[in-house]
Amino acid sequence: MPDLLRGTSAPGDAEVARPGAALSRLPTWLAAWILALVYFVTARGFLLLAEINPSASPVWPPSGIALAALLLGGRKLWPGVFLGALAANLANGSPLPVAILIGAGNTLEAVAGAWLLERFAAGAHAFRTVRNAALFALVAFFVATPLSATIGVGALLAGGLPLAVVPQVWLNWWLGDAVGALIVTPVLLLVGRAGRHPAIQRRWAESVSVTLLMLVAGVGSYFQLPAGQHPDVSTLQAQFVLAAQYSLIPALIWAAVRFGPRGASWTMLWLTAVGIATAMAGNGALSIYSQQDRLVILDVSICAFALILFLLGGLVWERWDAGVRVRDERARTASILAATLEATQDGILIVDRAGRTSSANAQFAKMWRIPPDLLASGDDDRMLAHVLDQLEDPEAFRARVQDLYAHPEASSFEMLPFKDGRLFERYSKPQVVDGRPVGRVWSFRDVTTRHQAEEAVKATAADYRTLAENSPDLISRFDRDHKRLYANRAVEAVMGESRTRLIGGQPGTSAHVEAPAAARSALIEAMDRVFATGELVRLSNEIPLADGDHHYDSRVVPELDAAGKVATVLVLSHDITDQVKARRAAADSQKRLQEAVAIARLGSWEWDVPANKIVWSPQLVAMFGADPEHPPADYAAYLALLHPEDRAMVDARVQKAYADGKPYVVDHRILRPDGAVRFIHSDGQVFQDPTGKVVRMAGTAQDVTEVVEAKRALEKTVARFNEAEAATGRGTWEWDILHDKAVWSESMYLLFGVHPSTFVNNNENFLAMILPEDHAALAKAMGDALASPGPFLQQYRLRRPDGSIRHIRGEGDCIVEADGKVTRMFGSVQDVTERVAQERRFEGLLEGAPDAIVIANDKGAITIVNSQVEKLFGYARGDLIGQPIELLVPEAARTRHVGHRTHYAAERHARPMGAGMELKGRRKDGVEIPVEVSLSPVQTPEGLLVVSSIRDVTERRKAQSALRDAKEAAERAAQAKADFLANMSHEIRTPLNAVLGMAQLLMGARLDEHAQDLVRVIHTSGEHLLTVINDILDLSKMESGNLELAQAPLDPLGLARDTVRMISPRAAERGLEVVLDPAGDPQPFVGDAGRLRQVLLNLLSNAVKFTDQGRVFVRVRGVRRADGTVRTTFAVEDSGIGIPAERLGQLFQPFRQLDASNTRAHGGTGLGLAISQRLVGLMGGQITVESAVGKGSTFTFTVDAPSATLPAVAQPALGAVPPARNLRILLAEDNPVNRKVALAMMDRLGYRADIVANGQEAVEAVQAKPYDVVLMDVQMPVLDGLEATRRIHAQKGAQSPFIVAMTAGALPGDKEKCLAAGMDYYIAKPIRLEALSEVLSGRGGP
Amino acid sequence: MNADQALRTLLSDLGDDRAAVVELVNLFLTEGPTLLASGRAALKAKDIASLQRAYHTLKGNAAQFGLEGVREQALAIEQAARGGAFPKLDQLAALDQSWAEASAALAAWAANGR
Repeated sequence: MPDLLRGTSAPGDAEVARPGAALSRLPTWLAAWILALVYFVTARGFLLLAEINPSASPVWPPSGIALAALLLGGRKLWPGVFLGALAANLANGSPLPVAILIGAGNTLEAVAGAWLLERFAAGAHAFRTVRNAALFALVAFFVATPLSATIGVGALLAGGLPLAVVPQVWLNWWLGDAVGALIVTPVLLLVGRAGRHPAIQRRWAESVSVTLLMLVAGVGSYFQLPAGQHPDVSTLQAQFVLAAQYSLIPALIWAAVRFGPRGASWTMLWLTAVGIATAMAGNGALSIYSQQDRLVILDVSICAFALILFLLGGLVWERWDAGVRVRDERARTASILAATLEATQDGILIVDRAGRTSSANAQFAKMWRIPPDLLASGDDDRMLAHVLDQLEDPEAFRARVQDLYAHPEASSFEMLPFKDGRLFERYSKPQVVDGRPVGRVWSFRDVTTRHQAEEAVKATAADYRTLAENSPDLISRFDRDHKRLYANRAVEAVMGESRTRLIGGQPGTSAHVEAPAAARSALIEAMDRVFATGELVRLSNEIPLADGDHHYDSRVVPELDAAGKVATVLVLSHDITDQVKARRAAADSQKRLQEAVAIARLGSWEWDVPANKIVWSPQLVAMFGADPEHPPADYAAYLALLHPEDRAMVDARVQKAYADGKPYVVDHRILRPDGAVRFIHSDGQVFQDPTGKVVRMAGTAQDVTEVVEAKRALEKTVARFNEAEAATGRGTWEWDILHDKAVWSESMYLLFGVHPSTFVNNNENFLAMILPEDHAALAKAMGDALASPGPFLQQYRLRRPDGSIRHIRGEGDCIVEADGKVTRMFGSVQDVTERVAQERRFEGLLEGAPDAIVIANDKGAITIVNSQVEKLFGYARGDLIGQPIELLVPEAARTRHVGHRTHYAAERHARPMGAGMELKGRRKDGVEIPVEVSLSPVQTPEGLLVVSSIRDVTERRKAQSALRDAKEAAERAAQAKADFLANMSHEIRTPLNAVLGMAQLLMGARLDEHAQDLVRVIHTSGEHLLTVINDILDLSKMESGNLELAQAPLDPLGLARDTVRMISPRAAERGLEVVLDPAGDPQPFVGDAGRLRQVLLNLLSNAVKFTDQGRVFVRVRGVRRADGTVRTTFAVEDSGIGIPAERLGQLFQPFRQLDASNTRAHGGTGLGLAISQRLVGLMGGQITVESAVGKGSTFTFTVDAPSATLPAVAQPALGAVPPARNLRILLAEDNPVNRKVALAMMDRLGYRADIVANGQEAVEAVQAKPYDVVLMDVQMPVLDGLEATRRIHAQKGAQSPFIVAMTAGALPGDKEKCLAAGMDYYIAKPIRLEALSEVLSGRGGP
Repeated sequence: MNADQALRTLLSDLGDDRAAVVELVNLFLTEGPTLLASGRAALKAKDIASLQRAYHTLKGNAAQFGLEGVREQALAIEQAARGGAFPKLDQLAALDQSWAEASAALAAWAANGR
């Protein structure tokens, strides 16, 4: 089996060892040394042959050794070649350079040869194909060896070799190397197993024969006659040697053909050895030449021989390979065939043309029960006999077989029945080779079981058909389209039609019979369900037939096809008509039973009066609860069963009827033995004989207890109703219009003060009681109700016969007959006199109220208003009642009001309406008036009412508005003042700046001392004035609330340090020292650094101003508080003149200096402290002072502010470079000065910017590279900032950078223009660090 | 704001980098005459837009360095130009005068610093 799966493998690969494996297992260095040694020894030996030149031997096996070694052990062994060659040449007496060169030539020869052979000719395996063998010869002969010869001879030439001998030496060298390579290399490569083809057995006899032949030929070549014994001795000897030598040729070919490349190589070696030996000895065919020539000629012939033999050897090896492949392939095919033959279930016999068995599988023997010895015997006649013996019809089979052998190309098939009941299928097919029949294959299959199964199926199907045909149930088969495919006889019978007409039709229908549509669709639906689900469905259906409806219990059964899908359905219907009828009959009798029970309420009796014997019907016995076994037998027993209170009465009736002979009827009670009291309606008749004697009485009795009780319950209800009516002042009535007759409830009579017995109850008398002024309204209401039949409701007054007046609320409805006519009315009345009185009182209250009051019901309809409402809104009361309350709400608010109203109804409580809103009411004339409304809910029997109390607040609003106007006017005035101040300051500052500028210029001019003094005064005064104006402006801003404080993180200690540094020069001028105490743990917080500095500077400059000697201390203390804020306390302590206690109060008043005379001495505007105090106040702190005259003052102020973390940039040490920010900024500015200012400031803030000089460039720059911010000058040449901004937006859209306008505009409307153009922000020139920082940090670095 | 204050502000804004402010001043001292010249050239060419822009820029620069007089005169010319009016020659002469005085003071500041 493994052979089958292994597939083909290259012959030889697995078996042939890699040549030179032993060599390659050695370490490289050792292999190289061994090679060197071998090379050296061999070289030394063969250099002895060198004649013309000691370095050029005509036979040079070392070259073959070197090539073989490099092919077997790898080219890495080349140093061995070199060393061996070098040593050999040195030992030979060559000078070192020559030896090196020759060695190099030898090495190159071996390396190049090995490389070429490995590359193109399978290396060490070269002799296994003709092609590679030819390539080997080519490489060895024409490439490698000429190389060595050329280099070697070149070296000798350089070493002084005469030019004349060069061709001879070169030829020697080349041929010597070539013989070495061609003879020695193959021997070495093919030595051992490597040269033996795995398919070739050892041929000992042949090997020995060839060896002997070659030995004889070789020895023969040495044969030498003793000289001088024969005149022709040399000729004879030469002939002999020649013959011996030529006998080598067949030996060579024999070896090559029979032993392949190895044989060829070994014989070549032998030939060479013999050839050289004879040549050396001067014997043989070439003895006429000089030794050197002999060797050369020998070399050439050896090479020619070698080539032929290699090709021959390669050819032989290829043939061997091919042979192995063919053998393998054959074995594989045969094994597949055998396995197939055995794997099949069929018995197979293969015979040749003559009909003799050539092969048979085991199955064949088994099927035909052929004993192994018979099969093994190959006795075809006995085998045929054995076969025929088993068959039912042996002669037919024999005839068929003979017929087939007569027609060798025919195929045939038949069934073979056996005597023992088995059944074989037999196939016979010719076996054809090259289109001609060479034999015949018989195959047999045992189909007994299959055949039996088929037979069984056929039988079963027949059985089923019989069953179906004779079934009393209806059996049909339907396909997916509900088409009938089959119907049994029962179906034919029911449908009244032959099945040929039924098949193809739809279920439940034929020419004669039609099942109800519902039954048919139920069946179709059931079929569809079976087709869909594959599950059986049961249903019942019916078919109307001549003898009445037939009921069927049907099953729809799925029939599956081979794939398991429902192919058709069978409908099996079983007739259950009889069961259905029986069930119905049972139900009928039950019903009759129930009717009988009901009849049991009526019993009958017959009394044989003369015999005083009463016969009771069973019902009567049951009714009276008497013992059915012993019913009351006589009249007395009957009476005993009656209620004791009724006995006398009944007896009297019976006696009277007896006496009069007339029928009677009596209602009475009975007391049943079980204690129950029943009401009985009895009647009786009297039968007399012709003499008038009563002979018999008979009658019935009926239990009317339920009727009596129902009647009593009704009476009780009516009585209660009347009581209730009377108690609530209600009454009910019904009026028969056609007969003009009314029926009133008792309480209605009471209500109307008339008596039912005396009052003739018709319409006229009723109306007569109504007050005449209410007549018309009531008549109209009732008339309307009658005209379009429906209910009415009307309130009216009535005068009772006793003269009292009652208010009645009457309502009623019509009773409409089937013909649409109104024949009767009914209704109720209610005495509402008390309520009317209450309402009157309520209305009086309403009228007395000062506010307008509107009462609305839960649907928002106005029900009551007072006269103030009429006055306020201009509506008449009648216009308002029943209208939605939104009538009084301004149109704009109406929808909203409905929502509010609904909401209020859900959450009712007294409250003012629309708290905090100015409500408006709407007058009839459309004028809207301001109102205040309060709401309160009133729960009444008619539902929720909402009372709205509305007050007109027009006057109050006017007053408020006037107040507001006055306040605004005052504020405007204050603002005007502030504006005036601001403007004035500006107006003053402008010329003042000029004055100061001029004064400064003058100071620089050459003036005499006096004039300089004057100018200095002008300058000082101007500066002072400027300060005063600035201070006033600040103060005015603060007072008008226009001062806005910056909110940025700040470092209070740094701020104090800066401020101290600012004041220090002035302090130093006065010989003072300002000391900052940093120990107060100040904390960063959020605040306005500029303003804080202003306050601190003011306090410090005061301290310096009013201190003549000593020091000024500044302390800053920070306290972090739990709520995240920081309280910072700044204190400035001086050792100055101090402030008298009584003056401390004035200290912070504006324009107050402590000592007017001081003003000149100390300067200052007197506004500093006032400003400081207000600033501190704005910052959420306060400023205090402690002072002692002559000792000094301490000013302290606190600031409470949120704690902050300082951003890295907020605390740059002076000169330190803040970290560069990662914001991409483009500066578009044409003016170099502005450009430089902006860049310098950005640099200080840690930003870098790209620069462009006009709008066009800005647009291009933004297009080329993304920017976060563009600082855009507005006025630029080429393209101004506004247009540039528009274009940037147009191009970039949402990706536009943040564009900041920079302009020295300050003209009104400029800013708006910038923003309108799409700029995001605006900063004014001159640019300030703060503004720039704000806008850039606001953008944040990405 | 006079020149003194303006320079102080600029110094503070630039981190007391006096060298930077001096450089700015020197730049302004060379840029100013250029602006004045381009204003005059625009007047000659009756190019109202360029004229307006030149004085606008001069105004801005003057404000930067607190040259109040120069600023105001440049502003007056700029505003008139916005309204389409060209300045009178004596207006330009007055501006030149203001510039000469103010720039002398600035140059002195830049040269020796106070």
